[in-house]
Amino acid sequence: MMAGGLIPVGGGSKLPVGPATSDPGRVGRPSMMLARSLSGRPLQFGADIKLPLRGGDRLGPSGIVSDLELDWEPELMRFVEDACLDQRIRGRDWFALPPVLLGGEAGVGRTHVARRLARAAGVPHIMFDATTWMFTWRCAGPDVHLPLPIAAAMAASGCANPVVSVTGVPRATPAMVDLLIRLVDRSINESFVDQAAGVVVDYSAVTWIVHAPPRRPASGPQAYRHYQQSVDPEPHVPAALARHLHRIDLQDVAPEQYQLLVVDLLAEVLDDLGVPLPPLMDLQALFDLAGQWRDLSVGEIYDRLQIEVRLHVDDHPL
Amino acid sequence: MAEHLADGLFVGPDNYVPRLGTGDDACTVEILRRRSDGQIVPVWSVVLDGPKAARTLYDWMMTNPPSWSMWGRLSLRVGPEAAGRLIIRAADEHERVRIEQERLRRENQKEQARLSRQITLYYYDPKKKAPSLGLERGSENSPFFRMTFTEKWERDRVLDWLTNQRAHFADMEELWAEHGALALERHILAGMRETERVVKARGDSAGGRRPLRFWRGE
Repeated sequence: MMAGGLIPVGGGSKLPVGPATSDPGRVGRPSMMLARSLSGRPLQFGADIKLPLRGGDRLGPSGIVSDLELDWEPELMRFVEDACLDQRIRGRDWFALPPVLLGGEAGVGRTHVARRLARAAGVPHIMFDATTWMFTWRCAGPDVHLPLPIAAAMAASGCANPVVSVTGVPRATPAMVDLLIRLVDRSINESFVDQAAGVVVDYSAVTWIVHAPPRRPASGPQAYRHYQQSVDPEPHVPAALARHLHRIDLQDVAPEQYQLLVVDLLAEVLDDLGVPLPPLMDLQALFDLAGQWRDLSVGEIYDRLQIEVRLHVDDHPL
Repeated sequence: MAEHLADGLFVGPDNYVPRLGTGDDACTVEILRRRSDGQIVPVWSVVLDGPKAARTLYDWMMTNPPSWSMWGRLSLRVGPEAAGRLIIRAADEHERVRIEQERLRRENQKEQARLSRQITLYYYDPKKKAPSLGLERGSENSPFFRMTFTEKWERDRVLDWLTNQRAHFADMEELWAEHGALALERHILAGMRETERVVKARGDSAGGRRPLRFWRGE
């Protein structure tokens, strides 16, 4: 494959030219070139098109922040509020947060929060498992490197600024950690070279949410905990990556707010299934039942709610 | 339509509050939400059959502050129909329970009134204590009048007469209330002696310690 010179993307290409973009289908909405071919050949997945940058209409106080209403996560809410304000001040009419390291106890709902955020902002949510070696292994001979799927997912969803959840970082290989650093580092991710795809990709508008491993609960005397740490270190995000991330620890929902979480999860289930609330569903009975699930993880509560909803929906038999 | 923040409408950190319509909207109950920008917007509303029904619903909602946020959030996230279903059904259930409790209360009141008109004669033989008899109201747990004796036969002698005075228990209670336990004791003993005299004169007396043992009243 003959590679052409690197063509810089991002930066000025994100700013609307004149009244807006030149694309008549996207009048008034900012957009950016997602990727440009290294070789000059047309790209297979058609990423040499402008993709919209979404969420600009929801940056105000009546938008994302109002919609999220996660009263039990004051730190997260302040962070989102500040980021939205920053975007507006800088004249960037699209949703974006600085890269985040999302911590908290096991089962506290990291993925749920990331999805809520994406929904509130009106952008897609992409999951990326960093434990995979498939994109960083040493290729030789006839082997072909796999392109990162994130750009393809962005192109498929038609959005240049999705929320991307990165999981499994403690078990990532050093090569994957290096790759993640290149993805989240705001000083260089505007021109991410994906050799496998033969493109330079602009990931600078992506909201990166790295899921931190849950803290191991403290048990036993301190001397034992030191010993345990030396023979079985607590999983952690490497410092080289963590320094590019803003850490936010999610809180366990208070008992008096638990029903609010159940409401959010029920809405998520209905949205995911694409169905309205079944007319025969006894909501009070559902909330009473959900009251018995307080000790479960957010994921498990979601699963159980989904089962309850599907029991009442004819088109989705279990 | 969003409104500017109204003084006193929201109490504490809660961002949702019910409101009862006024004037032409007197049949309307709604839930208002205070957004993070201070704007107030309705997130749910229902129009009822009349102002009284609206007031009943509103009053009930106001007794459930912990549920306001849940109702409002449910309306926002899942839809007003879902919230309405939950609220109206819970309000109906509450009203049903209230009516049932009211019915039980009235029934209980009736029963208590009936029992209070009923006076029962009891006799007591506690171990190692003096035998006694007592008059007790149906609505109470202890006798209002108690007469104690040294011997059982003395008690049974009075019981032979008193058992056939049911029709006069209410009068005896009145006498006790007006003149005290001693006056009632005297009345009972006087009545017993008079009857014994009459029955003996007739030749119907059982004789011995309990002359009225086989007497079955007049």
